[in-house]
Amino acid sequence: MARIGIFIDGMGGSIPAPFREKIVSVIRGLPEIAFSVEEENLASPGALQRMAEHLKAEEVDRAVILGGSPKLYETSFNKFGYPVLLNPYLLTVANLKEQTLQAVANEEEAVEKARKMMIKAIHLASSSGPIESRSLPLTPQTLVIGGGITGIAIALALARSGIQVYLLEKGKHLGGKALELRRFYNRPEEVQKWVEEKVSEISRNSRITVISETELKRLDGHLGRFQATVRKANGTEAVLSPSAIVVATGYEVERNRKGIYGHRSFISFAEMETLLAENEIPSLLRNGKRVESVAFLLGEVNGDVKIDSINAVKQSLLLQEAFQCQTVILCKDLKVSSDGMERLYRRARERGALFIKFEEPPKLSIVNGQIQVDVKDTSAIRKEDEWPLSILSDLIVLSDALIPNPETENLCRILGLHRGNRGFFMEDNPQLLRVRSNRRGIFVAGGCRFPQEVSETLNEAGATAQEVIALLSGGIYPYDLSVAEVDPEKCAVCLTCPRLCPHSAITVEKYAEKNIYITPGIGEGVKWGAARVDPVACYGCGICVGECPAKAITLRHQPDELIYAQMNLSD
Amino acid sequence: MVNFEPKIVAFCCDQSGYPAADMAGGLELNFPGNVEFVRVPCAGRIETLYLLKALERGADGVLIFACYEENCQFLRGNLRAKSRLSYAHRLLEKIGLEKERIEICHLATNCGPKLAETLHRKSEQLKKLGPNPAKI
Repeated sequence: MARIGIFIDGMGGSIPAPFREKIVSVIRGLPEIAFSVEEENLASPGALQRMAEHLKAEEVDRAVILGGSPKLYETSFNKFGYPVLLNPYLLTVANLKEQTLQAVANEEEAVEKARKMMIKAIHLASSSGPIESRSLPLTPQTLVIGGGITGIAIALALARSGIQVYLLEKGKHLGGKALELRRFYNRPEEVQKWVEEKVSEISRNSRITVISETELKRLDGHLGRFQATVRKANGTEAVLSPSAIVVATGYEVERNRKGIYGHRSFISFAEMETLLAENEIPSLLRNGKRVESVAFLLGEVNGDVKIDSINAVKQSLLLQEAFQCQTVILCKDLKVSSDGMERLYRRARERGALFIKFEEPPKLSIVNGQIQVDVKDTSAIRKEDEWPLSILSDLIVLSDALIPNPETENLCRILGLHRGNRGFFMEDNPQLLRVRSNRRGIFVAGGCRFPQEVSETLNEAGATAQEVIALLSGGIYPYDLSVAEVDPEKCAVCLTCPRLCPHSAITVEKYAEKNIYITPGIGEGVKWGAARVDPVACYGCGICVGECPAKAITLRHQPDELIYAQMNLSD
Repeated sequence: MVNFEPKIVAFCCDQSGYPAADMAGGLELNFPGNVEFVRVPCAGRIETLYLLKALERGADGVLIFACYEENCQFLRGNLRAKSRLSYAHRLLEKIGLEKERIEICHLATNCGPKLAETLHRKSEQLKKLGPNPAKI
């Protein structure tokens, strides 16, 4: 019979001494109970150390903690437990503070409930088992997919920290979408020169291997043991074995110029950018004709106007300052949330750019070979001041639709990732884990998550590099086996679990080297495949356990018995 | 029958239900007397069998506290739970048990009051339904 030590956490006076005494009095002297001691602040590493010593002295390995919410203790137990030789899965917490003392008004009832909860915790503790901790060696090698500015920035940051980087690029050259830009909105230098500098820095760096004209064809394995098969344009294949993977494939633009939008007056932001760079100050010529007025039409193509707003304000300022053009920005909403945009917007207004806010979409018509925009300005304070306006301008700048890279779907299938909002790559948690994907060791950064501005994307590249460095710099990945486990003898290879696993941690590899299970009784050498959960990739959510029709999967840290014990019912 | 206090087994998702229960406790909202919380890593862990076994072993009602839809940390765990629940409902109908005995409640970590309210409502509802006849 397992003997159990009881630790009572006073929770800084939240659990009063008489209450504690009343509860513990019922179990004193029982043969299972080795001792009961009072402690304060059990979640601290120091208290954990004392607890380990106490348990060792009494030769007891399981403990029940009477205190607050288990969530309070678990982080500390999982982090500091193994170093002091205390298995966190042998510690059971009874949540007396939140679930009895505070939740039951009548004191006697509270005591009764607390006693029940304590006894339930003792049952749980005696049926729980230890779970070992392991570590996986990691080689400092990373595969970065996509040679745009995100990929370049990540590769450089990783190489600086001593990590070997394979930079995979589908096209011939590095640089990506940023090369269509000529100027940053918030820096003085030119984009192309800046990108060229970075690319030459990459070619000088011995830790970065650029593999151009190559695509990812297949990915096997999990964190630390990825096997990526890449295929060059000429058909040759190679296998890389990186420890971590960063996806930075960016977004794509789609031009829709149907109907009136096909008129020659309409140009895109990228075309405007080229026009601005090619012309000499002070006159802007297009097809030999001088351009004097430019209108920007926002919100017609893209729902999210952040990038369009930045481009429109930036280009409008350039047009006004260098080429003396009159600019009009027609928008439903303007987003100036990026760094320095508010200032830029103010400057554009001061220089005389007209900002017109509309509610109903403007009407477009052709008058004398020019596009006339009829719009109602709703930015006036009084309703009667809202005037219908007709704007005739030489050029109308209209955004291209920003869409996910067409490769995204295929890449998601290869990498086992999910697609989220509008078909872009999905992050693990949009607020907290922005650059992590659903799989451990695979990160998504930059425009492949959603269209981003250059400065924004560079920030994200920094964040991603930091995450990868944090993962790989230790050289090992420590994990415990609180994961799902397949019993290969029961597995019928129905493929339910690999489809269901949100972290793509389950694979079925028939006749592969690692996943062959040989069962005695069927005959020597009979081999078949079975599902296998990779303990490094598993998050222990238990969805596969609940769904497995053969009940072949168990959750190591929460088997069925523990669930039934928690129900605390008669049988 | 006057002092019938229904026994409720409440499965709590570790991401939403359990912190919500802690919050309800912290706010000193009363729970009905006979509730057992079962902590699971995700609502997707809850098997159909657990729901039925809970009734078989003497619970009068079962509640699942899961995350809001599209809010699951593991993507579709709460939807799996929901589909298993509807399967359990079909089985209950076949054996002639009220399907109201098993219910799912979607909440977030900050929904302590909602959790306490749901427990009370369930308790009242079960009092009207009476003890679970399927108890062995």
